[in-house]
Amino acid sequence: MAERIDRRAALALGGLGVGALASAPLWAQAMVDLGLSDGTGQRPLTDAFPGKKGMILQRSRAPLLETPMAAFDGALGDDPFTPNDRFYVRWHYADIPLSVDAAAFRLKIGGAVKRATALSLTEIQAMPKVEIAAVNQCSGNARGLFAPRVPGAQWGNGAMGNARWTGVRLRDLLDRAGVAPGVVQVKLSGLDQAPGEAPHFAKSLALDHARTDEVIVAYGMNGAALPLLNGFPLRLIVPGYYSTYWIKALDSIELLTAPDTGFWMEKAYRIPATADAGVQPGAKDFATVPIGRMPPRAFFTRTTPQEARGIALGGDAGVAKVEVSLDGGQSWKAAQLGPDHGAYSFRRWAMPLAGLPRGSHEIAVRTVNTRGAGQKATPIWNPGGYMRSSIETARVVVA
Amino acid sequence: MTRTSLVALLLLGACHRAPEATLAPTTIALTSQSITLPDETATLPASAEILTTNCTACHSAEQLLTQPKLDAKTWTAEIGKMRTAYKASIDPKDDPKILAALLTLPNQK
Repeated sequence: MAERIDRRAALALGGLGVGALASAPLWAQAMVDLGLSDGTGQRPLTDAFPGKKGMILQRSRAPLLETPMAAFDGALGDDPFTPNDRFYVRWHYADIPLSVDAAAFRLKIGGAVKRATALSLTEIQAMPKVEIAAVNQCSGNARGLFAPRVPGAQWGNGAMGNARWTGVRLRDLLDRAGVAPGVVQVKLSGLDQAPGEAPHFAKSLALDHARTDEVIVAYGMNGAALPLLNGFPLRLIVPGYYSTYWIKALDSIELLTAPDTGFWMEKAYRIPATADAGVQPGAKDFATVPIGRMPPRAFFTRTTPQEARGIALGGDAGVAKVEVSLDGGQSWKAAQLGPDHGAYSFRRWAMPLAGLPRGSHEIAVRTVNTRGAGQKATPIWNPGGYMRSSIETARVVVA
Repeated sequence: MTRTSLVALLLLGACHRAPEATLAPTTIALTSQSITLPDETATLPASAEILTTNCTACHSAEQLLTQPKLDAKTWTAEIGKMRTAYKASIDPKDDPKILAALLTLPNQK
């Protein structure tokens, strides 16, 4: 993806052409080009959102802020975590929590429980602490790269981030309240409010999934409290799964004895029930299932005539290998991998390129996870613009 | 309990907690947070007042201005989704005017 930042373009904000914002915000710092197919990928870079800097402005209200690929870049040995002030932001509804009183906040656990429970942050922090590194990726990450294009937030590849999450197991919280017989799902929702009669945002996990070791309720993100824009004070962490399940400002856990039939499970965030979540462009009336596990993906963060480097995620399993091709995918060579921070984390990769002949070269990168799942060259298509995971390419010119 | 078994129990306890012992040693302080969002300044063309009336109560103008070129059928489905799924109070009588305004946005030409 040819994401390009042009600080000089900031001077020309008033004179943007077709497809640009009708009037760019006064607080825009510069422009970035997401490289979308029809040239509509120009976005302002902004420092204006509290606790955030250098973010790609997709939408002011409800905030959609994308992380520039450069923020993920680093040397092979650098830690692969996304700083909190560069971590992407995505809210559905405009009424988001802008103020949270830490002393008054309570996490409610109700529904089919033995004892309805409300826990303070102090009580939660007194419970056994766990930590896990995990990538959070929007279901619609890279929707802007779909062909044919589909409506929705037109993200490049930066609607994702990787953090060390600190918190308590969801299982331990459920056990504080006591799971009643017959519970099948756990419904989770946060402090954000829907406008009018719109459906309150809530997502559900199967009870068996909710009780696994990896699913946690986090109060820490890279060793600090979460920013409000990323879900302070508590966020559900569902490693290996798309971010739609990672409820921000989590304040309600409800145990259900029948599957959740709410809008956000039954109608939204659904993908074709095909092996790769793809259908023919324009297809209709296909069976769908709720989106779930992430497939593996590898990305470029920097490419020079000397070296290509980037990050990979294994999806619902660890990164087994990353491979680079310089000949349009005919042959692949293993890249060096950075330190392993766990199955659900980004893993850095690097490939020396010195010795490339003069000219323009297309470079491709792909990853295979520890379950053996890999990436394909041909992108999938579905009307929601979900689950893009095809092989990324970059261009390097040797002068 | 013998000294040996006590030591063994302590070690067992230490092992059990080992994954958590690698955590950052500091406690994460959770103090109240409050933020103010920046003013939004992206605006729709003057000719698109019908969109200001019907769309931007729920989301800012960038949502419309960053969409790729979509055909009338796709936009019509979007208007319908806002009304039925998200309960936006859009009068069906206004649909043709809304559609016409959407199709003439700068990013739709």
